Amino acid sequence: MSEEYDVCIIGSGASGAVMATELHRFGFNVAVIEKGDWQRTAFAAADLDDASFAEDELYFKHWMPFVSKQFLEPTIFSETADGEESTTSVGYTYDLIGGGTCLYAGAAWRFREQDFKKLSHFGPQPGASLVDWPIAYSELKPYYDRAERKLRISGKVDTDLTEPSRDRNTLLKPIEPDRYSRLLYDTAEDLGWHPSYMPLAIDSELCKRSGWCSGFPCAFGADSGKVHRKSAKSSVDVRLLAKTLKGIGKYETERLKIFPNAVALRIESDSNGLCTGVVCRGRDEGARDFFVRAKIVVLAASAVQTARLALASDSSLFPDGLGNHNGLLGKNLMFHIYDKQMGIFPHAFPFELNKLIAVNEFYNPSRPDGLFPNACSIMSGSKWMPIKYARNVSGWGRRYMEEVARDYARNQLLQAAVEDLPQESNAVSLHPTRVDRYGMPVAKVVHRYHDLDLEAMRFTLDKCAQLMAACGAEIPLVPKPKRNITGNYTYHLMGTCRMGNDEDTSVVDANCRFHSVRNLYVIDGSVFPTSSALNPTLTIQANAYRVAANILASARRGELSR
Amino acid sequence: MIDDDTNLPLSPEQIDEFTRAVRKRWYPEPVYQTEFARDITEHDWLVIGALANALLPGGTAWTPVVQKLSANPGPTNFSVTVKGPVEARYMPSAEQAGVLDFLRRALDGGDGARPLDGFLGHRVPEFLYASRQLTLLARRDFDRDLHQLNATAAEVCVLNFERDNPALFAIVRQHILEGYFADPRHGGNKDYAAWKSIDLDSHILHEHDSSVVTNIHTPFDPPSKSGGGGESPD
Repeated sequence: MSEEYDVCIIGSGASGAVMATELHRFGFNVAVIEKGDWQRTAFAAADLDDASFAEDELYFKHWMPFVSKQFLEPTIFSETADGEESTTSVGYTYDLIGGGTCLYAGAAWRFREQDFKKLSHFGPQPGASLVDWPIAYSELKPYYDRAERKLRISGKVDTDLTEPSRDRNTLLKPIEPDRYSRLLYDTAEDLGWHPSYMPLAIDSELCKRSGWCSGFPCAFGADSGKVHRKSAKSSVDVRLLAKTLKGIGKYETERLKIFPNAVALRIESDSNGLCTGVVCRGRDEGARDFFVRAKIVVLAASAVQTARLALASDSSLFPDGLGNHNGLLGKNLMFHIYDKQMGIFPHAFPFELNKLIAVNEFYNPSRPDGLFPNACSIMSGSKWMPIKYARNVSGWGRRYMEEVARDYARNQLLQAAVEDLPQESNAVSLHPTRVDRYGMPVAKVVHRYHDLDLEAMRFTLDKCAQLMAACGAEIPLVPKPKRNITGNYTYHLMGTCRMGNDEDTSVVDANCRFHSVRNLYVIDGSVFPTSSALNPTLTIQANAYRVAANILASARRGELSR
Repeated sequence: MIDDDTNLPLSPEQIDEFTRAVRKRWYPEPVYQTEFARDITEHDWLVIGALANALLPGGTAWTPVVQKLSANPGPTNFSVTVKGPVEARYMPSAEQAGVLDFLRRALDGGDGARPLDGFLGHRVPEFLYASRQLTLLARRDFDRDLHQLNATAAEVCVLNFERDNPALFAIVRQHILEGYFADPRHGGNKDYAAWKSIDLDSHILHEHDSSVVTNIHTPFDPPSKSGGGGESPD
């Protein structure tokens, strides 16, 4: 019989790495199944021996090396506007140890107190399955502190009126603002608003301002294949896993083992309805299946893949998917709704990291005709790279070239972020006919934004345009919010394994343990009952710290022995 | 006139067939070198080059406004100063920038030595279709091939083609723009000409000498110049 681990975690991203390192610290024997590999190894495998290949728009934005495997092994099909299916990678589920945190921009918000009490504040909304969280902000607060300290989050949020209470300052000093950020900050203040230096998972003491943050490996962490502790970006591979494993590129230490380049195919369960372990397969040619036996299984594979794996792990006890006792597994899928407002300024700005300033003045706006349930946030946007910019300017020929040349250095962006209201009809299910190269049914994703989502987006874009104009920029056009998630990727996957106290209306309990499978946990964004308007990573990580502490407490009480 | 069979335009059904076949190979196996690339003739390359030049004709000169930078210096750890006079920028044409070299490598795989060689293999049918249709339009309206036309006539042909094939045109346009604005290591943007032309502060984008590109200087070295660290974590 193979070795039995105390815990098997599926996914080594934002939450999986937190859980793995925390449980290892508590003395558990931990296995981690990861689809990808260390950045350094992945770079080498892709022949990226040149340092500056990391800073390549075409390579990273369009070819997307670490999601490309998902193009080649499609797992997700979403419905497009005309009702047809298309493959999508539903991005930021990168195939890397550290997952999406290796390449994300690093926004590290705490959810607001009100985000946890959405139903109480706004009441039921037609068409939306709005609920309160089973936990309050105060229960997450100490774990937010821990996550901010461990991951070295920087920022200055005391001017933000929506910022929830803190007992101590756990933030590093904010990154020095660039000219565009200072202009935004000052102008917002002139308008009587309350801007803040948004919290970022970027160590301000190490950041050297390469400007290549969102969607790229940290230029000071991954170049030359040398991921090292001076990586400014607080990706979990560097900040957490490498520390525990005593080195980048290592897979095993006492009581912690990472199985890289392995796909979890199925969670096995016994006749008592308890998990026994995970069936996995290496991604290399001719690799065999192997079984990781574990007392506890923790899903941390992102909202779509987590739901897909649980749905695919059916048994005689659970014919509709493991732990799917009420048919809710996979439902209430949420993304955020995002759009960008462009402004053309009278003078040029240098190419710089620009995602520094946020305005949460309208986080919970009231409308004259009633309450507006969606949270809305405004953040300074990262500047578009040249290919993306050129593609988004319409036309061609001489006048087109003149326009691109004249305006590129003068354009800047504001990003509008709006809460996606949960709807039961937005769901992940198993595709009835298509399977991936491992024979596993691909996930079918159906998602439409709620009318209120679009209304809130129009409202927020209006505020963005107001701020841009006050900064002295021309507004070339105001974008129209789209109803569908289309294209190759989206971000911020949440919902599908809703957390709640009532087992008839939720999938997992307040400790993120399945109501009907008592040794199966979910710790990624799947458990979020509502989505807020803020980037979810830090909340996912704080929740993982909380669940790890609860698993330790349960183990001490002897609740976890089979 | 050219009258060999390979230059006959493809019907939309044939395009669908090509695309389906390529998609089939695309799933689940990667297509780094598609067999269809063999179907791109030298004549097609001439037409594709003419199309790229119609989209990005170049020749534009303009003078950027950067003097304000010194009047409004950046934050303390990242000050920006302007040295010397500001030179006018010149925009090269697609051909001068090497877009065709980029497309050749991306579409037919080149020598396969670089990571992105052949990465547009699945787009060969679209480029073939564009080439064949533009040939048809140019011959119909001007009795010549696209690359033999003057700029105004070529523009008319490309406009007609765009009107009839908006979705396919958008795909072809995007990849021509990629060739123009992508990192020079992919074959286009020769000598960083496209980046110079839009005043991109390439000191931040790349390791080469920023004075070649712009008069804006920043005080720190980019990672690849300074070695970028390299300590192990423990």
